[in-house]
Amino acid sequence: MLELRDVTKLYAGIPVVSEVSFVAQTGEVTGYLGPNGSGKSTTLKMIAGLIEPSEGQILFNGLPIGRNRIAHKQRLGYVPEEPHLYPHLTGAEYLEMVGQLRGIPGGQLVHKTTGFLRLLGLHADRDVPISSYSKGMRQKILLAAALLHNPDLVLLDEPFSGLDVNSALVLRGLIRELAARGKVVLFSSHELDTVERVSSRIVILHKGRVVANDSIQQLRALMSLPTLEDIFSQLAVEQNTEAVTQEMVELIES
Amino acid sequence: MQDERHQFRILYRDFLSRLVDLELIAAVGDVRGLIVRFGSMLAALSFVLAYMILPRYATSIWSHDRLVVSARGDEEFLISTTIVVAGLCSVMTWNAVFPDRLDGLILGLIPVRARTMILARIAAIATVLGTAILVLNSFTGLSFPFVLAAGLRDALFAFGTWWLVVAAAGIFTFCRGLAVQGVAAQLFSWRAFLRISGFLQLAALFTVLALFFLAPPFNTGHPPAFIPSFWFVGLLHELRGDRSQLFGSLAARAMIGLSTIVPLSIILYILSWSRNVRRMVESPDILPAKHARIASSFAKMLSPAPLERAILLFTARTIARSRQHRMILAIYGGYGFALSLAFSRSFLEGTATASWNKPNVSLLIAGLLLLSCAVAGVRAIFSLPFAMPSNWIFRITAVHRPAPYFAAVRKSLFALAALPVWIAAAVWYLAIWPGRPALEHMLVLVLAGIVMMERSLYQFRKIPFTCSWLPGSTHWKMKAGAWGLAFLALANGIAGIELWSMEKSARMVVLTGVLGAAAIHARRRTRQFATEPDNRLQFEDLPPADIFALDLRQDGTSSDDQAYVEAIDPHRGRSFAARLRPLAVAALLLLATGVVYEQAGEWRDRRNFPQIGHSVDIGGRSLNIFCSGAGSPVVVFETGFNQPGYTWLLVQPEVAKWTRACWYDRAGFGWSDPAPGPRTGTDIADDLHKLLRAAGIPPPYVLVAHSFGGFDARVFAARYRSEVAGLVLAESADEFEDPDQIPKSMQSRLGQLVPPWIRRPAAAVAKFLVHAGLARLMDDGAGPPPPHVAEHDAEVIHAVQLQPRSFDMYIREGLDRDQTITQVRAIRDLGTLLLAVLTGARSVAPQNDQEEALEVAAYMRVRIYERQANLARLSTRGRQVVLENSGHAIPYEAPGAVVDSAREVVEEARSAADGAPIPTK
Repeated sequence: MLELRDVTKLYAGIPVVSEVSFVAQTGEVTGYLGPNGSGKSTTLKMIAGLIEPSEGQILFNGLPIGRNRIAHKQRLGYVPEEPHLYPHLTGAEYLEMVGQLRGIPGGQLVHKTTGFLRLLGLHADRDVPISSYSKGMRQKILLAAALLHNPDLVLLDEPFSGLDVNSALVLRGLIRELAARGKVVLFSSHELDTVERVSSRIVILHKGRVVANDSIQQLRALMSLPTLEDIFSQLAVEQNTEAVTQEMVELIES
Repeated sequence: MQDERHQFRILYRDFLSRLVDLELIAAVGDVRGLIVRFGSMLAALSFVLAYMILPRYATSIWSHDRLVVSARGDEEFLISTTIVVAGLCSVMTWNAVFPDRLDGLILGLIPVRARTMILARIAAIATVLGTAILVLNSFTGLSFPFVLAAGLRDALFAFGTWWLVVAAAGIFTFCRGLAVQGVAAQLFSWRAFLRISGFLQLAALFTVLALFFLAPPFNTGHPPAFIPSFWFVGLLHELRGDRSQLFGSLAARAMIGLSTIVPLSIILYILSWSRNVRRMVESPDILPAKHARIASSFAKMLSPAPLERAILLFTARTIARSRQHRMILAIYGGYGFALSLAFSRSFLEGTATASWNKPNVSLLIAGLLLLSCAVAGVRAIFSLPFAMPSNWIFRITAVHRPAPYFAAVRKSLFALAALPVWIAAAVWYLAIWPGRPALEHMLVLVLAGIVMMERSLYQFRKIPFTCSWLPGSTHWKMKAGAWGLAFLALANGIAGIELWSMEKSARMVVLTGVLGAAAIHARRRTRQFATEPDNRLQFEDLPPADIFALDLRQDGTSSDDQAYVEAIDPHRGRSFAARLRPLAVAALLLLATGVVYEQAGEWRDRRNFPQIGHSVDIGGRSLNIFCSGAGSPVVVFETGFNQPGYTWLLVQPEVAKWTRACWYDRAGFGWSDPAPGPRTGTDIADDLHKLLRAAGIPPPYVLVAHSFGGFDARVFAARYRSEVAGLVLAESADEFEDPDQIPKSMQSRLGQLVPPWIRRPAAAVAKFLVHAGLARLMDDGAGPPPPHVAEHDAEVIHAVQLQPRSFDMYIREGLDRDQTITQVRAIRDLGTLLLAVLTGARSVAPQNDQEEALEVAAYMRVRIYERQANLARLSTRGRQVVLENSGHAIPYEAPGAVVDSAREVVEEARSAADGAPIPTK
């Protein structure tokens, strides 16, 4: 179980994430939503241990993750939002390196990397530098790197970005399956449809604060709205999208 | 329609900033600051050059013609410095002169004319080049042109032509590099060009550095025609109206070069641009990888542990595939290579005195230099980031304690820097030198390499290429620079020590022992640092912790791997004594080993060189004496400083043919026991008297004394006058010498270096070290024996001289020398004692210093014909014999003369005492 208790992150005194508290249960998929700049990626980075919270606690299975960072990283699989990969390495070399850094034994590593590359449709391009990969291909590499070591906690930040339809379907099923196999899965995405289908629980962030934290069914019932998109628009969207659209068209044509 | 000028300005600014690789700089780094720092370095260099060169013209007493010749050399040096900087600019901007994929992808979508982009790029490159040349010549260019100017008009003209030529040289050099790239870009596909571009860049770098270090001094005889700096010197003089044929031909080459290379490079550049800009969008900027199974297999062999293998492969692949890192490594390699060539220059020119196929200083330095540059270069690029945002994967996967990561980095440095140099050096040295010296040098290189690696990695807590770099954090680079300069300054000395150590096994053992201890200590220190409890990996280079107190953190990419990590010093809190302990232990071990070495050497000498003579007890200690022959008076031989009696081996047997002849060893020398207390002339004379009594050798005696022994003999003659029938003083020391009159080439080096007030404590230390084997370690063996002396006899003499007790007595007699002289002066004269003074008169003047030779000749004249003559006048029956063909070592150089003089004195003594007739010769 992953638990955040009043987690806050300040940059130069400005709260980017403010008193965020929620629980992501084992065996559940928790969707983490919010507009751009709401603090989603910052929260995921704090859970991944890449940045320190200014206040609050993050616990995994009841223990603060800061108590034993090494153990936490051993259990953690993380797909970041930006696909920063070493461009000079090939896909195979990158996965091999990650597996070696995680201490996966040689034979097992070869089996896993070959399997992932094949299943993700990257086998033919395994010896091509990542600099030549498309966005979707990089995303697949990130995914494979995050899952190589069978993590207990899976953090996915915009994992569907750049994926083709086929791969997106595979990933959707994978997320469900990972949860079914007892992992904690927390993922953020702008694709509300997908989130709605996959997640058992939703946390919505707006301006750094949690504005919703419940199962989708409960939220629908509470707010009397049929879809997640409607709920999201109610809670987190400030703009009149129609008006904005009109104004942009006028600007372009001016 | 977009304003082209406006577009040009925007593109120019963008290209200018991209000529500096922004990825190298940390988030808080500053491009402007970096440029300012680089410019300051060039300006400082200009100032230093001006400071070194200009005073000669302001204060020199040289003639004008000589100054003109000197100026030409300085002109060539300054122009070649500009060429080097322009060449380095060409190398540093090698990848930036052509558009890259970003330009194609971004600018390709915007309506900008190709000519605008080309002009903007050329302008940006010209700005960098022009600024570098300007700053480099900021001091020299404003002062040097005026040094020989006569009048304002001449000065202004000289100034203008100087700047014109310097700019031309810089432009030529840069365009030359550009032309090479342009040709390659035309001939090959873009992908192939990417592959060979790196090699061309390296070749350009090597050429620039090699020409700088290997160019001979400019002389107006026949300077090599292929050196560009000489062409521009010619151009400078041609512009100034010097119509000599030499300058004319050089200037012609400069003009041909400029008129060919500059337009060619521009044309090729434009053609390459239009040919390749489309194709490069489709190609990766990074070279495509090939199956690297060999690399993986090698890595697996070298590093079985997955973590080590991961970091080794990552490091190797990044170096191989990152142009920036390769280029910087190439600078270090080029520098080391060029310096090695410079040190080996005499072999290349065929003027070396040493043989290349035997160990020599130049080739020893070359190996050490290349190793140093390899380790320094790879270590330097470890600090330079690559694809910084991608380093998150190392943070996320930091599932081990820091120590294994540091060990992995160490192994990478070993595999990528030291190992290739060791392998290449082993092949090279084993090919050109005999096995043993080659292996010895390899051992030195291995140990030195370990020390360098451990020192360079101490407190380095980064995974290579994954930590940002602040240009301001030059602490390590300054240290490395200082060490590098120190190494260069001491290179000859260091290689000299190694070469000297190769002459004797014991020395090599000491040298490798010292290096080995240093390597072990460095390794221990690094391991201690790696296992410090608070240690952690570092991923961001930020200013020191006082900034953090204000909590002015940047955008958080920091984590439990703290952005800035406090400096960890495992030795903090340790007392000075505790820090010195390892050194003290090492010193004690070294001393103990030395003592054992000395004792073993003495045992071996005792076994190989048994006693000659027999020991006679003179009361609590014994002296060694050897006698042969029969008759009276007995000729007794006294030796000089630190000489055993056996040095009379060419004289004593001849004298023994017609009388009894004895040589003996003074206390502490040869096979005699040392004596306590002072060793003045009186003490030595009394010892001899006791010896002769105890040995049953009755008077009268004729004393034959050499060098300092002359003082002892005179004291003996004065104290035991009735027992001495005569004296032969062979190249005896005299009390009339004025130390201030001794020419420099004849003064004792040690006496010059060691001031009088420190001699006693220094002597005590030296004695201690000799007992710990130092003299035996430094000893070069007996050397070629003197004429007519058998090799074995020379070895006997050498062996007994090497004993510590001989050194002790030598020191004692030296320190008591002044007292001995006082005792001798008190004697005043020798009455009617038979006296022969033999003086060596062979010239000892140095051949290569006329002034010194004159001084030595004058000194010798005084010595021979005044001071030594005064010795002969000490007795009313004294006479001097000047030996033109002998130097100071009369017992070896003129033994016959000593025999003859001894015979004459003995005959006269016998005649006076009605002694037994002696056989005719």
